Amino acid sequence: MKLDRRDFLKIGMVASAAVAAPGLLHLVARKTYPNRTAWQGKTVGDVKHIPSMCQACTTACGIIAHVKDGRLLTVSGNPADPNSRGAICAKGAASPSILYDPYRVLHPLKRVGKRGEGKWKRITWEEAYAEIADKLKKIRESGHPEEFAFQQGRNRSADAVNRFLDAFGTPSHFNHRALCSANRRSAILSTIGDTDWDLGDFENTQYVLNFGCNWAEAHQGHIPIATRMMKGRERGAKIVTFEARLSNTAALSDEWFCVKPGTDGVIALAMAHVICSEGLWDKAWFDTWSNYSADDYAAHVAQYTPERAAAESGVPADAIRRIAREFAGAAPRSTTICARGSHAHRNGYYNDRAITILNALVGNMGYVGGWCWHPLSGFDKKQHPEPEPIPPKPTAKSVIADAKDWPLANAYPGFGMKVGTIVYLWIKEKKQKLSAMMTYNTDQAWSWPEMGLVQEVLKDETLIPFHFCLDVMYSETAQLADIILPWTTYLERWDIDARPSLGLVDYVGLRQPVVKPLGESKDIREIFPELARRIGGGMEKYYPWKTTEEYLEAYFKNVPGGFNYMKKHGAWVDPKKKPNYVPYLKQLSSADLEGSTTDPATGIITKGEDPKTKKPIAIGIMINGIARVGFKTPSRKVEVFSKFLVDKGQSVGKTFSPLPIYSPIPDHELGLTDDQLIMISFKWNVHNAHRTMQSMWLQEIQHSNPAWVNPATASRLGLKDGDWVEVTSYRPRDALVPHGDGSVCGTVKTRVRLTEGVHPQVIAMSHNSGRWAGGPVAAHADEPSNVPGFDADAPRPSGVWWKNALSVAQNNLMPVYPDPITGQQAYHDTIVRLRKV
Amino acid sequence: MTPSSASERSERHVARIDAAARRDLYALGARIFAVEVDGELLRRLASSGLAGAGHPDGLGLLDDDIASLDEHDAIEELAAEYCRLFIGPHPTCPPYASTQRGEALLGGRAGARVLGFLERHGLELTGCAALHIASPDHVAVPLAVLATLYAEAAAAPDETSAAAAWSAAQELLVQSVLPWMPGYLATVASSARREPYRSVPRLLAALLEEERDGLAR
Ligand code: SF4
Repeated sequence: MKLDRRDFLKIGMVASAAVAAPGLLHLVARKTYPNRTAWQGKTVGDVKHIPSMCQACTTACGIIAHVKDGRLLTVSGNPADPNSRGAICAKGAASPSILYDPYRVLHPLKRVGKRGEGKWKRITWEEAYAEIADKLKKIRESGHPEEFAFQQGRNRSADAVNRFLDAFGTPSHFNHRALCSANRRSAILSTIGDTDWDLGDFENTQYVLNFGCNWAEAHQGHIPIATRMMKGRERGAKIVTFEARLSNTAALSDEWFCVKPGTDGVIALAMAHVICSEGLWDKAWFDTWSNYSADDYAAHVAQYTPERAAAESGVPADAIRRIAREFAGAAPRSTTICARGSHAHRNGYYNDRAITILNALVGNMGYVGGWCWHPLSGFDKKQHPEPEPIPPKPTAKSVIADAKDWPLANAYPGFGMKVGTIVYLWIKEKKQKLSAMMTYNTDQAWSWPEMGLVQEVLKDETLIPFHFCLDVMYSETAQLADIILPWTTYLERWDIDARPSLGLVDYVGLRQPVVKPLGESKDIREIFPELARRIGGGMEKYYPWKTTEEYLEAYFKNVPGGFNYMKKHGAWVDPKKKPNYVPYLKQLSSADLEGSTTDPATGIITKGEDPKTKKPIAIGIMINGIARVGFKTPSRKVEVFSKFLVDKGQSVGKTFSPLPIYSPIPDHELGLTDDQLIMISFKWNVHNAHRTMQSMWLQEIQHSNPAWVNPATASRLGLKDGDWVEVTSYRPRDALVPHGDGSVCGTVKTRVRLTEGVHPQVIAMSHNSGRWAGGPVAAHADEPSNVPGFDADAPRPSGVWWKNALSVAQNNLMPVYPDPITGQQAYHDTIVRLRKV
Repeated sequence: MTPSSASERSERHVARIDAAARRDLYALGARIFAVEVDGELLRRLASSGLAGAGHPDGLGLLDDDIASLDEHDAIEELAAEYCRLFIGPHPTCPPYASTQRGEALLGGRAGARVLGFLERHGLELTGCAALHIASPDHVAVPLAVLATLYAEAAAAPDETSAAAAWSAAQELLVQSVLPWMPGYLATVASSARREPYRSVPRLLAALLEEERDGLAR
């Protein structure tokens, strides 16, 4: 269109009539006050430094946000945080690119086409609230609150989530723990009755045995562990890693052994055998503090010779012997670490029991530099109680959340792990009726095993009639919602938070908004009270506070200086608390013992009665005439022999071993054909689930996932580096796994990267790739075919120079594969077939 | 004071009309980009005489089928198109200069440049929060600033104020508009499936071409 001056005049006049300009617009105005100093540029002038907590992953490191004129400039570590101590990782440093993601969802959206079609309109919060509250109110008033399901991913606002769901009355609270740490948590809880994390005293240790834990890249305690490991190493510690892949963690270790997946347990048991048979143990400690004698345990592990372990795992028998000796020799300054390597297997529960008991054998439990733990998985809730009024727990039942087939999933009070792995399978099989689902900070349609199944369920309006999604960014899951609500990033919202501290002293932290929420984004701390008021029926009475600040003031009342102190410093440690070394040795005081009873046969000291179970409450154990706290297991000792597990198994008709054993992966035991490999998954240090894939800074560093294949394997299969292959995965051949019939699970096409850094029987494919929704930074997948709503022709910003990089969704291949004991997803056991294409 | 000649008065008059036309076009553009078409705007577009395809000037501010829908359905259809183009998810034409220029951060250098301009010229943003515009580099902002400056030029009490407004507009055009907006407008015009999201970007693109020519003169 070429217009001359006369055209402009004419159209201008028409335009004027059309919009009565400038009456419709008040975007800009002349200032009525004097100019401030002239624009000084980004970092000059009044920069505020605001302490808060990162949540680019789940580690919750302390951060300082550097903010000028309401805009976040950079993020650095908060030295006042006792866990992360001023360090952050690349993801934390990339926080501005998550906050200012150009493709963030900033407005409530409602679909105006079919579900999944990708046709939306912007709506107001008022419209969103009205529709959601109306739907939820009807469900609640129907007397079936369990028909409202809440699917969360990483949740660092547990108080706010629980308050809303409990007030609503729904137990259908689905989490992702079975995709994460269920086996680890269960193994530790059933062995020592206490915490569930890897809190070895790495900074003070001399020896670390690492069974597949990728602490340098993706552990729940990532930076706090990695920085302490490196300090320990500077002080002479040796790190030995067993892993099927040369990860960055393996590369940072002194020794790396490339093991066959699923064999960590047999390596640990063989080491136990060496330690027992060569008398390298701390027999006195084991006999005193475990519920099984050292000699009996020696007899049990005698079957696990280093030669047998070598045959299974590929680690030379001599190396197993040598390392066992070194580990025992360094005790008590030696420790193991393993989350989420050894435990993300079909035999992960036993693996982690075997590994944990190695520590008991050498007597390093709780000692400086040894295998340590802390009873709290966050801040001290007794010291900082949640402000009243608190709603009671729901009385309604959820067949899915209470899944009974996996006996340890929900066996520990306060540790409801649930079986996230089977949620969508069971919804599809109509084991529980749902009327509405809220998805919160997760992208299950892409990040869950058998993602196609999840998509199918989310798309089906007969299975989930109403689905709303709260997230920072558009996702494959949001694409299958009816309403998308824009969520604040961790830089725009409040939380009381803390993680299990590697310093072994609990602390409490504050996440605070460092900038105003962008667009129309809101947090659940604002959304839930509003929905509760609209749903009514008594829900509203659990929200008496006018603002989140008022609520947090009440929460932080026991911190000296209160909420103001927290806003200024970001974290607080009670100076009276000491590191949790050898807690079991603590002596009971005469006040503790007053009114107690000691069982003469076991030495267990009890006092009072549990009001629910009517059983006596154990408070300690008599050891050599001294009343000590002991461990928090039923026997008050390390439960090498777990009757608890056996009883729980029997309750669902399953037989489990009370002692740690090597239970080979059924598929692997059947043997692999020439073209079959075991598929393992991993995460990169710059990514965390779907959330970081929006960050252009992080994607620029890592944006592709060719499959790692060993050159020897490649030569057998006639593959060259970069060749295209078709990978077909199979469900396990396993009677204890739902649909464990060995059928085809999925097929993808990808390219191979040949590297000695992977076991010859393994194909390693990373997570953090293969997205097709979420904008051109997150979703640059090559093959977005069959995906409704994906606009392959949409323009891509020029910054995305990697737009044609290979990016494949591994969860197309990952079957639903829960461990029979806890329901933990077996991420590293799937059999695949490789075919050159 | 020397009385101005008739030709000078006439020149000033033409300049005022010219400025007013630019004001109105930029305001129309700012309005179209800033927020969805509402009932009032729909009615105005419908009664503008420029509704419907096949207009002799090539200007169809409204599609025929939209004009024939009832108001609720017409607004919803246009809202879906607005969402597809500018809001997302995964908008086809993200409306921020920073995004268009491949910056990793929304706002970024492009936003800082607009803010710096406003600061220097004694202007401020007053409506972004209400319209939920997340950053000053949103396409509607420089358009609204241009509308404001041309409004000042059109209503200027004297030659000096008018010249100041014209010169400020030129500065903004050079710094924050011409480097990216013509290409962006072309993308919107070709991506849009509905009016006025084809015609208005074309109009604005033509106006910017005229501005570029004017700057060259
Ligand atoms: S480890 Fe996690 S919480 Fe810590 S800085 Fe990195 S992303 Fe943030």
